[in-house]
Amino acid sequence: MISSPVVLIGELIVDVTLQTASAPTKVRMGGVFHACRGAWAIGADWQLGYFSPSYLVPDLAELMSSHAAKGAAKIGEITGAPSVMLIGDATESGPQGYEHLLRDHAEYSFDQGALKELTDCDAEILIIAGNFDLRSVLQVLADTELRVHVDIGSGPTMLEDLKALRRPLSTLFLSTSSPAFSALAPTLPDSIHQLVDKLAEKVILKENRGGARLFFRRSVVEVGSQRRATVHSVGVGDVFDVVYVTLAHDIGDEAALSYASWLAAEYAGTTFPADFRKAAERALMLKPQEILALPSIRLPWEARPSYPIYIAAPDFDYVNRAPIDQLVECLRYHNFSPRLPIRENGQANQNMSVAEKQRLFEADMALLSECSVLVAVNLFEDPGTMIEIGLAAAAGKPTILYDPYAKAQNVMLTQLPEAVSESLEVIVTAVFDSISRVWSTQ
Amino acid sequence: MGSAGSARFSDYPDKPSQKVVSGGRHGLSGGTSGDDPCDRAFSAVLEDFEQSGYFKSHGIPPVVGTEIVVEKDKRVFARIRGAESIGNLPTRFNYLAGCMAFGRTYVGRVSSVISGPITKITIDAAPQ
Repeated sequence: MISSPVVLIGELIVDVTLQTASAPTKVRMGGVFHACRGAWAIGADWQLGYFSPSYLVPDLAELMSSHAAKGAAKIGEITGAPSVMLIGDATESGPQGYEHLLRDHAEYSFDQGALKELTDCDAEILIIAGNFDLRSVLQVLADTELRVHVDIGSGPTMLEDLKALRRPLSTLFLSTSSPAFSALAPTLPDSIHQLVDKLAEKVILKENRGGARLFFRRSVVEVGSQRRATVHSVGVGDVFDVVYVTLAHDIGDEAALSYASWLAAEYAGTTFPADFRKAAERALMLKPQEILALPSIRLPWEARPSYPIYIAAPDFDYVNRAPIDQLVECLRYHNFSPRLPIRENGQANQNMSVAEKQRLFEADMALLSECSVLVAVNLFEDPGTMIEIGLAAAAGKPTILYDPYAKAQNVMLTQLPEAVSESLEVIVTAVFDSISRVWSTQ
Repeated sequence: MGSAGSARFSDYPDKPSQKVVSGGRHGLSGGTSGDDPCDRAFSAVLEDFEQSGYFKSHGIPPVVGTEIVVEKDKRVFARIRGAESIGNLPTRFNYLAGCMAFGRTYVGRVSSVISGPITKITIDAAPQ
């Protein structure tokens, strides 16, 4: 497999993953450097054009050397902010808990000459957009014939900014967590098709744990995502980008997307670079036809609401419902449709008549029947929740148990569901897997 | 109240693994965790038993304790040692394909069989 040389452009950020109940704080070079690790891991020739505060430059020099960089140029200075990202929920089970410190105070200078010199070569150009002025960078590249790929990322970049290249990008990467995606989401996939050839020859939509798809002319290539135990999700999409960009020319879009998906999962599985590189070497030992044949998880964004999720829980107004609310927020973030029977149909009380109780019971049973999957939240031993788990399992519905306080001990409770975990990340992934299975058989 | 310090970057690939303690939490820094997933034993609930060669030949599940080997064809699957396949490993075990491409082999036993509308077979396996 021959990887194309690549020049990576973006800003350096210090990623600080805050301590959790089980792990200490971890500090890593982030921002565009995630993509650098991806290029290094697959053995690609890579160079870096970076925006950075001055204090990071000595550390970067050592990191560049240990990641076999072919060259680097500082193309801009960041002042007014430390370029530090605080990361709360590193796994992106729900809305990302990222805090870019003093982001709005940051000012970016731009050295056009340095960029011109760096890109005076024959390489793919991959820009990981951030808070710098992408238009200025594209205006410089407009005077070249280089193949330019942009990941619009989670910064303030607008799709209109991409016109500064004065020709379509080679590839535009979007993810379902990009701010720019929210305007496109309601009319998928047509909204993406309309970008093809106007803004980019190819548009790749990364759909988190549900895979990715590439839009090219009127056709679509889809790949599923791979599964590993997720340690973090920071920079995982950037690794996906660089693997695709460097391999597509040699092995074609579908195989390159499959390797990209594989290596993104490996990157999410560790924060240790040597471990990641070893995993990448093993993946690259697999031939394209082998990697294409292995199973993966595909679930398009717009398909997800069609598979409602019954939330079985003691969701009463006198109970601390925070774990239920957190679960629902995570599921909605991924465009799933959680249904809350007590909030939708009403809460029973001791003064209700038999007829009123019967109405509630029937409404809840109808909702359960309507849903494709059940996720139970085990706050305490609530008989209603237990019965609903049994009913759903007996009806053949995928049944998942979120056990936030790790209280489940009864063997029916621990063995009957497809997945049992106190981790929201595991539960959200299990929802993707279960609904993907239902979706793929319909 | 004192403050904890994140003294330095922890992700140089050529740096050896080091134990760190921060804020009362223990962790590791350095290039490698020292934990290779290819070296780990694992337990897996198999998929597609009803489509497996073993089920087609015998019509019943294997008994607990039967020796198995894990192999790769289009998928990563388990086979009764010297006999037919008994099912595929779930997608999250795809990484074993990379391990096997590097020469690792995995053997183990059927550790549990639950019969029902869908037979649930669990295997325990470890690198050889």
